[in-house]
Amino acid sequence: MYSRRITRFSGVASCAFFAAGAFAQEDPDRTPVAEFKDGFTLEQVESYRSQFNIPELLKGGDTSVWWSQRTSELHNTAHLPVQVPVMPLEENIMPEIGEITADTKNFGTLSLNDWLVHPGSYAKGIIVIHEGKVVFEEYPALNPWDAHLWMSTAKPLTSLVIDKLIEEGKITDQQTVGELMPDWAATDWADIKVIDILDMTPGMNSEENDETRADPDSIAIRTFNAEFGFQYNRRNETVPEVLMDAESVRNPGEKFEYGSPTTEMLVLIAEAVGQEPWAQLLDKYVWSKVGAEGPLMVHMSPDGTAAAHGVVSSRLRVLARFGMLYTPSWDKTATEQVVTPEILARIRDGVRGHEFYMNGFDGPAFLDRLNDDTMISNARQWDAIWPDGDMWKAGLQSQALYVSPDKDLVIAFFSTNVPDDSFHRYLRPIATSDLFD
Amino acid sequence: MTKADKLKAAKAPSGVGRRQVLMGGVGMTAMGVLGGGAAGSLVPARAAAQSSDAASKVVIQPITERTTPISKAKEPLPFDVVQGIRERFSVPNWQSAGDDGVYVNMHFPSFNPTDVVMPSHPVRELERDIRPELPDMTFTMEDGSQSESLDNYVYGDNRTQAVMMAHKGKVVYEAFPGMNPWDYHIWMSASKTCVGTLGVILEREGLLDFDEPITKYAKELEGTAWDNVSVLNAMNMASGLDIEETTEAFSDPESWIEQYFGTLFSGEGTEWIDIMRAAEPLEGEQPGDRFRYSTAITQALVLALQHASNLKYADLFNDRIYSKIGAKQQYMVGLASDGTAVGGGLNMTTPEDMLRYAMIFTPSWNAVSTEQVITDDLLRRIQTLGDPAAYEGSTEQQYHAQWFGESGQRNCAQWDCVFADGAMFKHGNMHQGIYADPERDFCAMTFSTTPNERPDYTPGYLRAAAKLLAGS
Repeated sequence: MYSRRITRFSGVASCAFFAAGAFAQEDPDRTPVAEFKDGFTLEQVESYRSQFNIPELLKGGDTSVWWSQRTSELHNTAHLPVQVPVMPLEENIMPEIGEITADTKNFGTLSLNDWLVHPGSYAKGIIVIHEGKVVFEEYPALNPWDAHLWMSTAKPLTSLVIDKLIEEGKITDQQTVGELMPDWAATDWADIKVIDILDMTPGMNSEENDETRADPDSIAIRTFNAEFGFQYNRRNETVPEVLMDAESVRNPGEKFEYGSPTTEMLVLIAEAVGQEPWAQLLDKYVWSKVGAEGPLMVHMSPDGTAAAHGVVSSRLRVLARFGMLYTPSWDKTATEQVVTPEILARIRDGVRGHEFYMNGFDGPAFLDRLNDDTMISNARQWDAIWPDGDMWKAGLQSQALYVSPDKDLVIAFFSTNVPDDSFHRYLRPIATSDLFD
Repeated sequence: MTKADKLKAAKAPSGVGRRQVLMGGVGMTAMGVLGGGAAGSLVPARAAAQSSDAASKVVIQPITERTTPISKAKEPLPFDVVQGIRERFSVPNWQSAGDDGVYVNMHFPSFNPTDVVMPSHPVRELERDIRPELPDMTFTMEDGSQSESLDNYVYGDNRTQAVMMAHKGKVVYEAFPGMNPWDYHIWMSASKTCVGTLGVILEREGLLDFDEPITKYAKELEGTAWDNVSVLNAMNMASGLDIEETTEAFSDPESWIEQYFGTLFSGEGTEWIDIMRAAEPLEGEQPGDRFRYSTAITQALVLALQHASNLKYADLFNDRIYSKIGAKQQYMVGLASDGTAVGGGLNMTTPEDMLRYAMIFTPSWNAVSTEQVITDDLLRRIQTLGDPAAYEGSTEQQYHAQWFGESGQRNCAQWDCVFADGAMFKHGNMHQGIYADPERDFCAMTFSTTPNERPDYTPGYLRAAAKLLAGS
């Protein structure tokens, strides 16, 4: 019902916001994020609703904060309830984690504690879980129970569902889209293998980069418009329609070309193979086993396609519990081992080379974000895998999920920060500190 | 085909009374046709992408073996079935309570934006004291005959999905014939009790004066006939305005209520408020004279509550009530086209969380709460807010005898039926219900997806169970 109202905004046009702004200090136009711990007033909500358009939501201002915490107000949503008894997490707080420092992009070297309260960090919450116990958890600008958008930290959910379908023998990652989805045989996706979609290298023009983000006709922007109910050429498109229009631009496997539309292909493949709506598959294979404190919300496009590339929300602990599924302490959060050793091995043993990573648009961007160049490459919807087997996934406006299966460690954080993504620079220093050896 | 013809073609079976209608079994049928594009309006892009012909065609999915027995609603659905439901989605199809309605009632947020409130306090587990005498109990119906047994009714063909009863703070009966205990379900008009309860709470806080015109708070309605409606008369559904949800009104595409429901969801922005502003007084009737049920009145109260508290409705409900009742899962409320909560009908929770809410009206409130949210004087205020004279002879009153085998004394504070002994009941479309009986320290809830034209006897069992357990 929103679509008709909001179509008058041209969601496609002003996408300059994607290019990370040069301004670095705290934004005078922004409300300190901690103030939103008390929620949003009627006037604030009215004002944010009146600015409901994609550029505004992605800009990273107050409207983005509202969207990231009240996502179901704007999107249809599949609510996945908790179905097994809650498995409370033990706590064993290690205050020394807060003393770990990082070289931030704009504020010099800061301890994690200082970063969390720095007005320019717009940090909302962070949790560190070691051996299944909470060892650090701070909520400078969020209540522990507040739902928050995962953004792209949701992408590994899509590869996990594919891996569960592989486990059931319903699909292999060497099959092509054309084999799995006959309706797509006439599209440029037809000959693309699942593994190349999982690894973000389909050779299609579904990439997100400065160029495609500035182009209202790009597959990326059309996908976002379809998801938000905005029109393209005076028409509401569905996500599958947009993806069918994608074109091959190079051979698959040449380089890492990160793109949310590519992830949406995994949603469509899972639905075609699993013959259930994606959120229901996620529930069946993953969520129904998790003894979390609160629900998982999968937000959808108006046509019903799960926006699993990023529009998923929950409290922070739920994101961390998802990470725990990849660790030896999975049994502290789930009633069965969802991520089997085979699935974990497929992620970590199939990593392509560093050169492949650096050939694309986002590889170098991720090095800068992390202030680290020791990773090998991306794999199966994770943004980076290191030689020590650690895994990292980042999300727009500075969200993260970091998992070290070998150290039995999970780090997750939420924030709303577009110009300064330095929060990620604490991840490797925490994981490689001697605190978890 | 004229609008009237289309209306006729899509009209639900006759004999549907006003009371089943939150947003009107018959009425929404009419609305969906009337609204043209409105038929698919809750599925924005999909509907908009279709031709106008397709968008205006309302498909009513009947009850088939897909949801018979209703226990099949517990199972996940294949992809193509869900896509079909999505493509057929319209308010008339949903409210007709066929196969598709079962799915929509349990997945409403995937069709419409919602506000969500996460439980923020430790869960209060409810103890069980399952009473063996309840499954076989019966009650005396309006015609003097004895009903079938409770279990036969609940597990029979009524399409009941959940029933929970509690006595002295412990669950004494629970049945989930058509949903899993962790699934959520829409409350329909049982939602209205939350609006009424927030009203008395804000009155006690000094934020709402019942003697003032409702437009003092619901500023969106200022300068209209609503200026003559006091908050009190709105609370008691006696507005004196020509906005009643009657069968006749729902059958008339030009009626005010038809236009209202046509815009509440599918209008643009605040169009639904514009329709409310056009409401006219009934000739020869003063506000307070007569109980005339209308969801529009509840929505006026939602606007008033929001301004009085400067909070969105869901945040207000959470702050004053939901955060204090040890709820296990989230509370959700569907939104109108401008983002205002439809507190008049679109609450969603699990069965058990609804029971927790019902418990705050009983002496065993401390089974779910550390604080007495509904103090004794607030409870008395709710129980006695309505005027028995305005209730007597109302369209509504006649249904209560059918439901319970006995009539109530008055309607109060958005509750349909308050008995002389203080027990309170609120009905919801497609047979939802909430019952709180403070005198007998009993409360209960029920969820169903039952066509409105069928009689609803669940309320009778709930009240009879209370009497049985309390010994009178």
